[in-house]
This record gives sequence, structure tokens and C-alpha cells, in this order.
Amino acid sequence: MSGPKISHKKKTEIDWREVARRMELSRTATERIWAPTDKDSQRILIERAKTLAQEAVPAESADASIEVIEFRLAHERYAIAAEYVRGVDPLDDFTLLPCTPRFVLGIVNVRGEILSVIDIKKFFDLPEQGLTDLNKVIVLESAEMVFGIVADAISGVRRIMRADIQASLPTLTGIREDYLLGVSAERVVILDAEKLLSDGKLIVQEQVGA
Amino acid sequence: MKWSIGTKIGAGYALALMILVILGAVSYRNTNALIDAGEMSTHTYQVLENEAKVLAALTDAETGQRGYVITGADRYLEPYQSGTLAVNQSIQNLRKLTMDNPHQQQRIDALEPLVAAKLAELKETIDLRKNKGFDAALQVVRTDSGKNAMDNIRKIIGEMDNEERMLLAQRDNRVKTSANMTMAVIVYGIAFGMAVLILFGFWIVRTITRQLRAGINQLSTSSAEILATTTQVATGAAETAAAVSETTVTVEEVKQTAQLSSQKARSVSDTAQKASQISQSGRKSVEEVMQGMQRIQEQMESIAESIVRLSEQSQSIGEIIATVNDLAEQSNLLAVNAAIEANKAGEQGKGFAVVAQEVKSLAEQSKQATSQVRTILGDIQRATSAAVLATEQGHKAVQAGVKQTTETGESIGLLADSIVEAAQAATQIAASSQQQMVGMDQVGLAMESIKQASVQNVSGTKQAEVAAQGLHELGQKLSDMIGGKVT
Repeated sequence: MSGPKISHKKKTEIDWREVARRMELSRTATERIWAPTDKDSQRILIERAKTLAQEAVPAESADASIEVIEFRLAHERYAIAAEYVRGVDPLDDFTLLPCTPRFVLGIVNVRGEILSVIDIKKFFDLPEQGLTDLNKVIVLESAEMVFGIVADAISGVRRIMRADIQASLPTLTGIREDYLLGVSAERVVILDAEKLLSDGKLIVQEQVGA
Repeated sequence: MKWSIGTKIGAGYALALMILVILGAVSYRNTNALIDAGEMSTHTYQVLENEAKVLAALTDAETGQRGYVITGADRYLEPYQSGTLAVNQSIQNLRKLTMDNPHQQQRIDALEPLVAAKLAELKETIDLRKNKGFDAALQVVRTDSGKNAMDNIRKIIGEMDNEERMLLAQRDNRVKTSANMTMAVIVYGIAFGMAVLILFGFWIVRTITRQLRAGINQLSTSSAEILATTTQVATGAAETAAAVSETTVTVEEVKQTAQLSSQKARSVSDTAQKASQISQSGRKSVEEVMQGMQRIQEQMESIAESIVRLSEQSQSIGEIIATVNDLAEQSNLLAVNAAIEANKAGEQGKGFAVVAQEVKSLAEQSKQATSQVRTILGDIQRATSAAVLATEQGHKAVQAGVKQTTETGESIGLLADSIVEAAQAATQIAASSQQQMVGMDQVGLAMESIKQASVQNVSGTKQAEVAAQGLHELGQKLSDMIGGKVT
């Protein structure tokens, strides 16, 4: 909704009646939206159902695709297999740990559990590009390991056809090659969660140099 | 020697008079001398007469004595008595007459005793004759005292006579000489005087004539100048008359102009009155404007308050939206987590996956909505800022308006003052226009009098001209009188 503009530079006369009318209209419109009629509610719900209905149409086999969590980190789109994701939580506050490698941001309390948080960009030695919001943590869990990786935003849960996963681009370094499943058609970098969870480099010995 | 003509003529006459006087004096003196001489002659003749009388008297006495002696008759004493009387008288006269001549006095001194002696002798004889008779008397006569005395007396008298006659002759000569001289003086004096008088006369005439001529020339010249001047004056008077006419016309015009300006001044005064009223109402309008500005200020302030409240409200909205956004975020995460769980649940989780998807969709819609709301809030913030700015500007504009209105009020005040001054000035102009007209009237009168004076001038000039003409003719006449040409 837009209100009347008060401008002293305009030479045209202000039609105060028109202004009052428009304000009245907007006021009634506002009130109507706050208390929608049954008809309006029905309309909205039907529209939503239509939207949702479209998304649910395509059927695929279980193995032909994997479900991945897509997230963004420093303006790059990544994805990771959903089966290894325990959950996604907001990253409110993390505590720095001394004597830890650079990629270890710190520890964080998620639902009463203390988890370490990794910055995969630093882990992969990718150059820092731009500012990051770093307010999400994706908790990865496997039988042996559990930690969180930071993300700027969670794009959503997707199904990606394995056939669409392409080999990694030559621009990626060797280190990353190990941890990537590949790149999707939309240039989403799909991480290998298994590899990450089982990587030895991620295990940090909490020992201060004697 | 600067002598006036009168003096010169006077001098000439004086000279003539002097000569006359000299001549006259000389003549008078000589005549007096002649008269004196005549008197002296008379005097001398009187002396001679008296001397003769003395002798005669004595002779008479002697005769009487002789007669008496001879005859003894008293009647023959008559001459003796008369002679005796006469002789003393005559001697006294002689003395008187010859008082100035000491010689004669001496002689008279000598004479008197002799006369007395003679008379005594006579008397003696007479007495003797009378008393004693002839012989006694004769005796005495014979003594010759009487004769001697008589002879002495005669001698003395003769001397006296001679002296007198000599004197007479001397006087006569003198008188003649003096008379001759007088004649000469008269003759030569007349001649000389004539010559001098003639020369002097010529000289006087010449100088007088020259002076007169010069004077006449000057008179001529002056009369010519006077004529020229009168002509000029006449011309000047004509010009003056013309100028006076023009001035009179101009005076009329000025009077009309003054009248016009007086009218205009009056109309200006009226206009100033109106303008004063208008300025009064203007002042009032200014005050009203100020009040309006005041009200605008108040409205501005209330607008600002509203805007501030609006801003605060939008701030609250922003906080709420932030909360909603947060909720949407968390819902989003929740949806993701739900999807993950659903995925883990496999087939049983499909329904849950749909629910999770819907929750995610809703969360996204919420986020979109909040995003829109944020955009709108941004718009609102901008709009409120613009409104605040506008209000501030409006406030400033109002302030400027107040200032301008104040200035306008002052200007109106000044205008009103100027108008009052203008009205006063207009009144003064009207008054002075009035005075101007009065003055112009006076000027007109003055012009009239100038015209009159000019006319009199002209007539006076004509008279002067006539007089000059008369002078000129006088010059001519004088020139004729002195018998020369006058240039």
C-alpha cells in the first residue's frame, strides 16, 4: 500500500479529498487483510494447494536420485547428502577454541549438545570471497563422527538425479576433488559427506603444545 | 591759471577799473593838490590880505591918529578905533594862518611888539592929544618912534609879503609841474591803459572763446551722446516692454502650472490618505499572516509529532517484521529438518515430507512477505524522512515566511510613514502652490508697474531727447555767438 506523498516542491495542488479517500481505502483494505473473510481464506488455501501440488508430481526411483540439502556459503552453492544430515540449526553463538586449526571455528551448543563447527571453505583452502552471514550450522552425523559445518543460508531439500551429477571442474584443486561428489547442472557443488565425516584431518587433538 | 570766465571778465574789468582808479587817483590827487595849491594860494592871499589888513589897519589907525592929532575931532578916531580892533584881529589871523611857517611866526613875534609899540605910540599920541593937545602929540610923533615902528612894521610885513609871494610862486610852480605831470600821466596812462585793456581784452576773448568752444563741443558731443543714449533707452524700453509682455505671459503660465500642481498635490494628498488606509489594512493583513504562520507552525509541529509517532510505529513494525522473519527462518530450518527426518523415515515419511514442504513453502512465503514488508517499511521510512525533511523545510519556509512577513510589515510601516510624509509634503506643496500663485500675482503686479515705469521711461526719454535737441541747438547758438564753427 502506498500513502499520499507530501511534497513541497510540487506545484500541483494537493486534492485533500482524494488523499482522504485513498487513505480510507487503504485502511479498509488493511483491516480486511487482517481479518480475511471465509471466501478469501478458501481462495488462498486453494492457491497454495495448487502450488504445492505441482511440486509433488514428478516421480522417480529411489536410487536414480539423491536427496540433498542445498546451502549457500560465500556466494557459492553447495549441497550435501541428506542422509548424513541430522539437522539444520541456527548458528547463534560459537565459542572459539585455542590451538585449533584455522578451519575449526569453534564449538557450539545445539539443543544441549556441544558440537565443533567447521568452515569448509577454510578446510578446502578456498580463498575468502566476500562477506558471509554464517548463521546456519548443518549438523553432519555418522557412526563415528558428528560435527557441524557453517552455511550462510539453506536453500532447501532437493532431489538430484545421479545422472545429472557431473565430474568436478578442472578449476577445483586436488584437495577438493577428494571431497566432492561432483557438480550439478546448476553448478551446485555436491560434497561427499562420507568422505568428510571419515576424514582424519578433521580430527583435532586437543593438546596444547607441551 | 584756472580762472572762470567770470573771473577773467572780472579781471579784465578789474584791470580797467584799476587803471581808471589809478588815473582817477592820480587825477584826484593832482586835483587835490591843485585844490590844495588853490587853497594855499588862497591862504597866501589871505595872509597877504591880512598883512595888508594889518598895514591898512595900522595905517587907518595912524590916519585916525593923525586925523585926531590934527583935528582933535573924535570922528577922526573912527578909523583909529576900527583899525586898532582890526589890527589885533588881523595879527591873530596871521598867526593862525602862518602857524605852519616858523619864519613867519618869528616875524609875527617880531611884529607884535612893534605893532604894540606902534599902537602904544598912537594911543600915547592920542591920549596926549586928547589930554595935552597937539604939541605934545606932535612931539611924540616927531620922535619918529611911530614912524620907525611903522617902517619896521612895513619892513617886516614886506618881508612877510615877500616870503608869502615867494611861497606862492613856489607853489604855483609846483602846481604847474604837478598839473603837467598829471596831464602826462592821464594821457600816457589812458594810452597805456587802452593798450593793456585791448590786449587783455583780446586774450580774455580768446580764452573765453576757446573755453566756450570747448564747452560747446562738449555740449554737442554730450547732446549727441544723450541722443544716442535716449535712443538706446528707447530701444531698451521697447525690449523691456516686450520682455515684460513675455514675462506676463510666463507668469500666467506659471500661475496655471501652480494651480495644476496645487490640484495634483491635493489629489496626491487624497491618494496618500487612501494609501494610508490601505497600508493600515496591509498591516492588519500582515498580522493575520503572522497568525496564519503561527498556526502553520503549530500544524507543522503536530505533523512532525505524527511523523515521529509514525516513525516509531514503523520501527515497531520493523522489530515485529524482524521477529516474523526470524520465525520464518526458524520455520525454514524446521522444514528442512522435517524434510531430513522425513527422508530418513523413508516411505512412511513421504506424507510428512509433503507437510514439511508445505511448512517450508509457508516459511518462504513468510520470508517473501516480510521481505516485501521490509521493502515497504523502507519506503515508509524514506517517506517519513522525506516528510520530516519536508516538515523541516516547511518549518524553515515558515520561519522565512515569518521573517519576510516581518520585513513586509516593516516595509508596510515604512511605506505608511513615507505615505504620511508624502501626504504632508503634498499639503506643503499645495500650500506653496498657493503661495506661488500669490507670488505670481505680485509678480504680475510688479510687471504692470515695470510696464508703467517703462512707459514713463519712454516719455521721459522723449523729453530727454527734446532736451538734447534743445542742448544741441543751444550749442549751435553759442557757437554762433562766439562766431566759430562747432565740430
